[in-house]
Amino acid sequence: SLTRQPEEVFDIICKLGEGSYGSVYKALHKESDQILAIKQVPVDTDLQEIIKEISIMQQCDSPYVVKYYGSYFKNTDLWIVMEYCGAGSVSDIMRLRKKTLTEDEIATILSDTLKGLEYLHLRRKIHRDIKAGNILLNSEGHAKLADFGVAGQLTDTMAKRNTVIGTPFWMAPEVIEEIGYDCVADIWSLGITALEMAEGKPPYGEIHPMRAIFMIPTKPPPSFREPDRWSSEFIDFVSLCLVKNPEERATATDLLQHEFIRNAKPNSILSLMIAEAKEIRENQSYTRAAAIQQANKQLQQSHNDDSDEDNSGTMKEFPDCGTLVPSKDDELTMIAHTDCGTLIPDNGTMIELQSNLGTMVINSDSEESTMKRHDTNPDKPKYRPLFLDHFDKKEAEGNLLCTSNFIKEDVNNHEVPKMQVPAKNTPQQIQEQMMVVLPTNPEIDHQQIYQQQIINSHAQIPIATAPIPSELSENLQHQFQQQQIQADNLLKYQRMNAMDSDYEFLKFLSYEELEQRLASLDKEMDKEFEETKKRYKAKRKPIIEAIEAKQQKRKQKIEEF
Amino acid sequence: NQAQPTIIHHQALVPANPLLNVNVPKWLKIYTKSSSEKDHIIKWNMFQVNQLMTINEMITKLFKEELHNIVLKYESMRLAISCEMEKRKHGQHLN
Ligand SMILES: Nc1ncnc2c1ncn2[C@@H]1O[C@H](COP(=O)(O)OP(=O)(O)OP(=O)(O)O)[C@@H](O)[C@H]1O
Ligand SMILES: [Mg+2]
Repeated sequence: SLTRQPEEVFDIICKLGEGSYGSVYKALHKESDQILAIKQVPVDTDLQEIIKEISIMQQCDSPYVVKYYGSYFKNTDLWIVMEYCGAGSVSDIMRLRKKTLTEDEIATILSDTLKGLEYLHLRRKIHRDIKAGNILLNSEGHAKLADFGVAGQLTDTMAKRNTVIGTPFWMAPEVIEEIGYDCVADIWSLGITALEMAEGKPPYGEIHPMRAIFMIPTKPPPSFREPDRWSSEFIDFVSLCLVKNPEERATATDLLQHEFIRNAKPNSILSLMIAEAKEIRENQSYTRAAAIQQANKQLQQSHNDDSDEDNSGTMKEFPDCGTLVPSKDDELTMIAHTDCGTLIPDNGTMIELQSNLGTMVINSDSEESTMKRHDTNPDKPKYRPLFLDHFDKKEAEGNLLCTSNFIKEDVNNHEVPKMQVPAKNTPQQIQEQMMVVLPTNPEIDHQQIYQQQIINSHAQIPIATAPIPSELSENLQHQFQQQQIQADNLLKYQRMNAMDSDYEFLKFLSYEELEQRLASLDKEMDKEFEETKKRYKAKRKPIIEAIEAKQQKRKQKIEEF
Repeated sequence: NQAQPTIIHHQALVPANPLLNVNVPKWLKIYTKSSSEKDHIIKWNMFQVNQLMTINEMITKLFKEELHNIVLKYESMRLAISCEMEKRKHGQHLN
């Protein structure tokens, strides 16, 4: 029942991984002896809202979507209890094996993923965070979508304490541009994920995420770095996902009929890959065991030193992972460095488990009432600036360059030609870059030029766009037109100013100095971001305070009444 | 198979940013750009709550624009440096 503390119901076995919003643990449901996964997410306030969101997640019942069983509040943390997927995420597997996936493996995984997406999209639910890290595999090689809801819907109320930054590389252009988006935003992300599985990282994966944010909407859709390595079916599949205009993008249902997916092999072809990853994981945990044991001892010591008897007895060693099973929150964070080495096969009784866990369901709202306050009500669309999550998450200073674990650990053993390294750029690439570039003149407000250019050109440039019927398209179409005009004008503007003296000083630098400047650009840019952020925070403060003061006053008035 | 709910295509699930095509008042632009010394002159409590909220969102919009401009500035610098480097390399080949 709810009155029970979660640690009475579960034993935390070990940590499985860490994401932007919290950590994921492997846990044992004591009553049923089932292994499951628990995501612990720090939350600020507005618990009621979150509980409702979770009940929406619980409504999803598909073999292609990770099952959510329920949730607990433990102090300031939300514990989300879900199905355990023994093989981990697709990005985990790539990282462990230091290998990208083969076309066959990708097709099989994409086939399951598309079924999961079709399930969600038919119910008007957007996943919003499709990427290899959120596609989990169970021990049988079935792929399931994870983090539905958690990433997309809880962010508003979630504490942004975590230092890991969410990544914009998978975001559809329309999401970044804030022009409104729909389920097909997930299809763009799926196309990026396909490239990620084939090449080890998403397009722009190695450049500054802020640059990526502004490149995704302005550049043509990305594609394979080495097209020769892939079948025409695969290339065609990806190109159907990565269509910039969401109105013209394929749906999950469309793509399930695509040749590349129809020819996908059974899930059993993934078992070799899963076994390999499992072995590496076990080896890693073996070599780590000593260090963990050491840490455990220290932990136990300091714990015995400073606290009462009751708590000091709560740590047990778990034989299969050699990690701690703590019962206090601060201890949970202390074991944050231990990794799980063992994969217990989760063959089995999920249905039984589900009924056991049925007692945990906090919210029993009728479907109707939950659906109403969810985004699905077309009468009351709620604007959610997903784009801004990524600015908010930039608290972690210095981490900006290495946003995904994958990049951080630099484990790709295959050679990926570095993009955007200017020295290697062909003239065409440079030309292409010019499309988004404005010359710097500190005296000029770039945004103004930008806008002025757009306005001036409106009359002159004929725009050829296919007629799109619906209401939404008007806005979209406008955006695309603007983009086209922007690109066109920027190019003109750039040519006009080619002789601009702003960069005269570069002529006087040595080649080495030029290299150095180039290498330090991201760092300098980060510094400017940081300063700008600080200034805006200060500017915003009195306004927020005024809002709060007024709301406080209003509250008091109501109380007096 | 499950029954398929009817899908309404013309309404985006997540609507556009309502401020996308709204002009931010000039004074607010000046406010966000200027140093903070004289900020106390503005009596924010004279605004209504919903006005303040809109102002707050507009500040977000300006913030995003400013970040955009920073990226563009550096993109431009990046291009200039790489062009210059390209030129040098070319020059070397000729010699
Ligand atoms: N249900 C699960 N079963 C097994 N492992 C899981 C499960 N959920 C998450 N994990 C593991 O935990 C890791 C972290 O997951 P988490 O969702 O917190 O972060 P992420 O997906 O990497 O990033 P994001 O926070 O942006 O979604 C995953 O990469 C995966 O290895
Ligand atoms: Mg995740």
